[in-house]
Amino acid sequence: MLRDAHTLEDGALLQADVCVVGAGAAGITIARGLRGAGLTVLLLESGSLEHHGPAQTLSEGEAYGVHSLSLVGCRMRSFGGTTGHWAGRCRPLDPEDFEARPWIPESGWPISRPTLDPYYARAQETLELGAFDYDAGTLANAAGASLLPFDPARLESLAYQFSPPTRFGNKFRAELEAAADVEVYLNANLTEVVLGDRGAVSEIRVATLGGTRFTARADAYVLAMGGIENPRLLLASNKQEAAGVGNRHGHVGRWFMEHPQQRAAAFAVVRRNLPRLYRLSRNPSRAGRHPGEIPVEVDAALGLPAAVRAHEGMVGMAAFLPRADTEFAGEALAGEVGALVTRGDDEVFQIDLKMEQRPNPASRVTIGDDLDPLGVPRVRVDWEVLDSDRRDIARTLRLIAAEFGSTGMGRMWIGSEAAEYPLDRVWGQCHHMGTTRMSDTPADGVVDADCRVHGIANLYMAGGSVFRTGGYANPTLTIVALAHRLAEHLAATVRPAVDIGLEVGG
Amino acid sequence: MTRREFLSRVLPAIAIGLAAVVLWRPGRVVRALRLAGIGDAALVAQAYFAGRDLAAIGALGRTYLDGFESATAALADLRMIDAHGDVDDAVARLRSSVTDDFDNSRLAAVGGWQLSVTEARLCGIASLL
Repeated sequence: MLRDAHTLEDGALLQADVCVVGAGAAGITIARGLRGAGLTVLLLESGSLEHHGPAQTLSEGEAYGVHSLSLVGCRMRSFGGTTGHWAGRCRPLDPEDFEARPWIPESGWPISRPTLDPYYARAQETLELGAFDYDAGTLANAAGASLLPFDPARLESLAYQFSPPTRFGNKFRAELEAAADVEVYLNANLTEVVLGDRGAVSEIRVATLGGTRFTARADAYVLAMGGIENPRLLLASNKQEAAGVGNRHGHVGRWFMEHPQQRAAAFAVVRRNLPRLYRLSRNPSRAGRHPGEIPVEVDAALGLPAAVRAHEGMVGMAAFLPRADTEFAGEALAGEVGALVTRGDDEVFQIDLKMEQRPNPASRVTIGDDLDPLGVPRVRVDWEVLDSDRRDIARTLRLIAAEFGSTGMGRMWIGSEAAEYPLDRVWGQCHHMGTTRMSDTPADGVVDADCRVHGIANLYMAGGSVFRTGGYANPTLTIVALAHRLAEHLAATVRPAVDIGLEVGG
Repeated sequence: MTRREFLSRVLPAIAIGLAAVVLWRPGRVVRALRLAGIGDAALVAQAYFAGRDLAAIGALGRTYLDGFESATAALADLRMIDAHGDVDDAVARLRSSVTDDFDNSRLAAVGGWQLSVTEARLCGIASLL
């Protein structure tokens, strides 16, 4: 069922076995995953069915640090969440991303990539992708395209699949409306997580912008509101514990990560034909799961192999090769210098980097003094990128340049020869991660390997906030895989006890 | 500095400078460079960059020589080029050397371009023509 929380009476009490807050990719995947498990599910969504509705104003806050982080534009408060405007680019995290890498402090997830692989396969289906196979050669073959002839031990092709993209709000609305064991409330904004006496959440408080306030109780609670709202609400729920819920060790909101995107970080003058797999997003391929299915679209970027990154002590990056933006290319190719390496049959591509950033406790989400219309402190986000990350940009580009030269592909122009790459062309990608990071022990993070908040028996986090490191790959596929895994965990551990229903009063 | 070092490093630089100042015509410069013991390198550099904009290459070479190596140091390796037999063969060997530079990350960042060190040195020679 799907309802508008404005229709509830003030002071209403909703009860279910599992309460999921946030109807985006993670929340909807969890609600769907619990269907048929004998549990009742309450799914609360801040927005409505309308994109860019009034609830968007609740995302306003202050952003510091790297200038381009957009708090309102990135996030969508509507049924389906930010999948309402995502581009659909998918790739799993690399196996090495889950491992402890000594050159990246605070790396090493409590779970391994093989642990997540079965859930990645499910996520492929949820996101309407092809088979869970990201081998560049396989996907290039499926697309009838060739790969660049680089030595794979020095520079490899990174393949991506594209979701149509799956708009969760459109795709799964009818299913959830028809579900007898899932009740969706729109315009329902979490305002406080309340702890009980036994170290568990006793209830959550919810409000609409229209003034209705109500309570939800469940055996298990999942916050699936994104990498900024998850910590914001934990920090704002500070009446019982001053540091906020789940924050005894001070990790909530810290370790905020994005995927810094450096546009036109360099230019490549290519003397051979660049295969279309690198030129075009969305190359149709035959990598669909079933005969006759709409072909999955694929493309490829370039990246340094894990062994090279380990040897050099660097973070991961994906280098994309769009046609050069004339605004930027002019600087690179102006005048006599450009004449050296450009001939009539050369083509110029710019190199856009999308990179991992090292976990950094100073990069963080906090709450400010200003309150939103519901009385919840507005968010402050200080996104910081370490100098070591910036240094890795230039080093990565130089290694790519060496391979371009070695194979006769062409030459590269790198805008900055400084040891530290400037951040004047850094964009965020609306990938908000790390703020309720996963850890083996409470002292080292916020949630355990099951995404349960350390020390709180019935509170779980879902979404990019649980990422311990972010890798360079777009996060949605991993978010959905983790959501499938969490749904399975909840289905196995939550005891069905409560008939879904509305109790007035309380 | 030993006499041998003086002859191998300083003398060619002086000869190059004199050639550039006194005999500023490409043919004469090449002859002067040959007198200085690097004429073959100059001929090969011309052949290596055949069809390209030598003025642009020379500008890049000047940037390289100004910022990275003295002319004599830059040319030290290239002086070994012997083109008496076959210029084409020498150019092929240079191309191999360029590839080897890239394979071993011997890059020179010149005006933003990531060139092989051999390539940058050839530009340096071209700047003297």
